[in-house]
Amino acid sequence: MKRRLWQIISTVLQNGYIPGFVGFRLYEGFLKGFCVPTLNCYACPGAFGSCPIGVLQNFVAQRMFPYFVVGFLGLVGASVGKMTCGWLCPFGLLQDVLKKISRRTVKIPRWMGYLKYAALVVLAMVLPFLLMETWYCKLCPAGGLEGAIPWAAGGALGADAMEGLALGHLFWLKMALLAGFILAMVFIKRPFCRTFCPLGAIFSLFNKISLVRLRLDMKKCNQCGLCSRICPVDLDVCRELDSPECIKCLDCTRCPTGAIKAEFGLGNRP
Amino acid sequence: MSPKVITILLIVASIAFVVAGLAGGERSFIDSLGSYL
Repeated sequence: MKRRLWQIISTVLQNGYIPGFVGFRLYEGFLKGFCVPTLNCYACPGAFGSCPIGVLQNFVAQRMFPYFVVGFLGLVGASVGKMTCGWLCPFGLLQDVLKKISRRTVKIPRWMGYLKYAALVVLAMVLPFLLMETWYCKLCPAGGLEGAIPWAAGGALGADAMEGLALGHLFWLKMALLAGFILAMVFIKRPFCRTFCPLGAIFSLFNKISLVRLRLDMKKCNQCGLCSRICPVDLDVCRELDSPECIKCLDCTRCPTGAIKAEFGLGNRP
Repeated sequence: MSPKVITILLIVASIAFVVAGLAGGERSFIDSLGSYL
């Protein structure tokens, strides 16, 4: 519950620019020059900050090295790993909430986890570099929900919105992807994070060395399996602590025997 | 190299990159992105 509250507060803080929704104009103040630590579309009418993946692509498309974004992602990743995915991401919140609709859970094959790395390299780096366009943004389901739909709605309502851009030729493909992921979210735990999120792919590289880490005390573990059942990304928690897929939600620290604990800092490392 | 050293080096390098980006005026480029989406 505590984590859900963090997710809700983060979603509101990242997308709380009310004039954007009312008057259909983007926030262009001081904060827009900084990145948020989640995949939150900067074209959302309510967005205060910029999406790091969108910014990364724009730099690559302009053939410039993105010092600020690389440093920012490195700093967040080395500090908390994928914790922002579990605690702050608005699209992560949507996935967690939609999964509550069905008790039936479909597991996805492990190899699908590698697709997000392909999305990062191909759609967010190689294609933007070669074609000088932000290709991940064109297909991003999160951007479709947070950016394209509000602008398309604004255009339909007669607002002076960027309807033409929102309804680009890939708009319906983006909507189809969004619809597919939303359906999948009902039956699969966090399908978007695990298969298509390039930001999660970047942060996953830091999970093993970040300052936030999980510790398992095997002497206390009674193999009840509760940690794996409640894990929002289907991990076998006792065997996969701090795995690249772990979103560090810390739900597994609710272990009834106290076998799993979270640590922060350089602590007991070699 | 131990994980502790790698983490410290990463954090220091990341801070250096952030400072370099800010000093290079990247913030204004990022600021301009929303206006032509």
